[in-house]
Amino acid sequence: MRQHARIGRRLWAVPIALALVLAACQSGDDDAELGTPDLEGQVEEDDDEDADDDAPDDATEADGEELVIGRISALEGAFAAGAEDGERGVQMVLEEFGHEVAGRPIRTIVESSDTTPETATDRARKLVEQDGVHVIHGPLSGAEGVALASYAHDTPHLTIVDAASGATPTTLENPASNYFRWHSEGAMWTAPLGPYAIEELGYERVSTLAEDYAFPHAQVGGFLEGFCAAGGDLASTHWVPLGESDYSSVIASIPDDIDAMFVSLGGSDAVDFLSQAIDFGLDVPILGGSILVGADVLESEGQIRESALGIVSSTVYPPATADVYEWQDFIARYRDMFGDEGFETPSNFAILYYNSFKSLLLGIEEAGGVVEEDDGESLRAAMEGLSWDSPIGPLSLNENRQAETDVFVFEVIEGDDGELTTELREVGEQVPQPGTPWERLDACP
Amino acid sequence: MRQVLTIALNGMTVASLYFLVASGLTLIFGMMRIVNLAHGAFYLLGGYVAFSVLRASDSWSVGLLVAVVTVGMLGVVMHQVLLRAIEHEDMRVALVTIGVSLILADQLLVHYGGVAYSVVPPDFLRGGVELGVADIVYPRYRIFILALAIVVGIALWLFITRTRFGMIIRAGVDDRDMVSATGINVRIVFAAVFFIGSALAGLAGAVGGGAFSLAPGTDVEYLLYSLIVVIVGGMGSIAGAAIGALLVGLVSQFALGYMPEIASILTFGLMIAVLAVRPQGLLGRAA
Repeated sequence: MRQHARIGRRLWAVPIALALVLAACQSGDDDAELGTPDLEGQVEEDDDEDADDDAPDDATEADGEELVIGRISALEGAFAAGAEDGERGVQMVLEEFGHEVAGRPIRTIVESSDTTPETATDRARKLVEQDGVHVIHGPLSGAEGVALASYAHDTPHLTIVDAASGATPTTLENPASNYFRWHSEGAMWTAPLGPYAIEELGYERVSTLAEDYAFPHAQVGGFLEGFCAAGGDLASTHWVPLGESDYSSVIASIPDDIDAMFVSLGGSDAVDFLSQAIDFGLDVPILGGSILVGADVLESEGQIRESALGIVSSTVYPPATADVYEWQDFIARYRDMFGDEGFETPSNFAILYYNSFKSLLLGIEEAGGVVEEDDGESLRAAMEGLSWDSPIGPLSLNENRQAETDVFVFEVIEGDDGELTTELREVGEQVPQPGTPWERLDACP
Repeated sequence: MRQVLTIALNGMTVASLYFLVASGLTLIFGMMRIVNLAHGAFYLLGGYVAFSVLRASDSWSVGLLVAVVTVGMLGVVMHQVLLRAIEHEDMRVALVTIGVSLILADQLLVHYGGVAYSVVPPDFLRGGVELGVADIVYPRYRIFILALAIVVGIALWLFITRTRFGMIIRAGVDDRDMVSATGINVRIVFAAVFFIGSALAGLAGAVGGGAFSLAPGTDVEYLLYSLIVVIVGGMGSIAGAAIGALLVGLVSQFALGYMPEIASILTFGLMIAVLAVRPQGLLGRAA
């Protein structure tokens, strides 16, 4: 804790110092761990005073030694709704495996984070040092992923399987041999959108708007690389902090002479932006970053309909209506399991959490359930050689332990029932990992 | 031109919301020398209550009303139960109200989860208004917030300076024992002040939830903004809160429009600049 300002006769010193301390403490002081409100009894909560959590409700027949998997999920902050959906993806895997793997019953300890690298690292430390886990599944957000990849270097006995984060440096800058990412990352998700914007949509001059942290840096980098290479012109870049709720003045300062606006915002930021874009008369077409119009945004409480219609975007999973791979089967299972509790269509967080968690369990299976004894060596070897057909296409890892998958360009349209839905426009096949660990770009690369 | 005007309007409407939040904080401080650091949590609670009531009753105005009354009552309870005994010890009051703030925020997190909510305004407040200047179409709801802040500001000012009750409050601040001796129940008077101050935070949350989403963390954000506003304007002064809110709103919006990366630093920069020149704030009385 910082020292308070000296309390003199000026009373204001007290509240402001305290408020600052409060603000500093708020981002990760309280050990209030929470289950996901909408998944009653399915997320196990970890309680510091009671290290012996109960086994899952539907206890398994497995007689092997219990396997404890630590999980870090951004259940607070801008992506809370997405993280809740991610939890649903994990539930689907556990259901599929009957809560056991290689004869060992699975217990998960869920730690809630808030999208900041500090909190994600704190939670990882807690899981490793207090709970003694050898495997962590998480995190959700880009900057958290970069932080955990660096933490992985310090903890060689730990195996981290990324849940859904999408920053470029995580698996490109000095990649850790114990950090695995089973989905492609943010720059790969927007790579096909740049050329598509010029060639198919005829947008030659754009501005970009994105949050100022690792994942949108990747998104803008991937988009601009293809867009500029195809002859596109960048008018201006606008960066806002993650969690910004007021876009009115940003919208007012967007240049008039552009063909389109590339917007990479997510979660509640996306909802705020889309609801304000109409109010403040943003009248250029919007090219969407990968999570601008995901299910968690399209199905939110906000007034975003008019803005969202017609947005062209690209992401790592197929649109709701696309009949590719086992995607429709996955959607049916998701709806079956969660009904009204979940979204109409699973969000990217559901499918990415599902794929990553299932990859981890398949790896543990392959390693015969040996995790702790050899500090994860056989598990890591098994995952490096693993390939399987996921609902969104075949998965395997490159030499950086990074997956390279198809990317889907889609448009937001009005479905037959009048609700917003998405339709496939183009598939970018097996988009490769970029060669540049994108940082923030303010000009064409 | 159009851009500058729009951003200026944004500054004024955001300032209106800041004023609604900060006016309650400054009222309570001005009358009772209590800094309520749970004020931001009261804002968030007001927003959530309005959301839940709106969902249950389908009436936006009922939601607003219930939010105002609920948060006002909570303020009274907090004051009577937790603060009355330690009213004159700033440090204790600060710590207790922080405690209330943390507990409240966690309770809201458990109940509402981390998802962002918005309090959808009624149809007659939606859409845009042609201002007839530079082709600007401005959201009706933001204009409503501006109007509401002006009404509340004037009402507060009249209440304190022109009514018998306001006079009693001012007298109670200066010499509590004397006011008691004249047969006035000072305890009830101060409970009323706490009710009004807290209710204003609830009102701000219910109204602000229609323009910006409500989520965990919103509480701290608005506590900080309202502290900056009252420090810039001068602790305890309603007019100061209005001027402070206007300055903070304009600075933050122009920064968001032209230099979004350093917007938050500039807002603090404003506070530092004012304090360097006038340590008691623009309209504050020297302590």
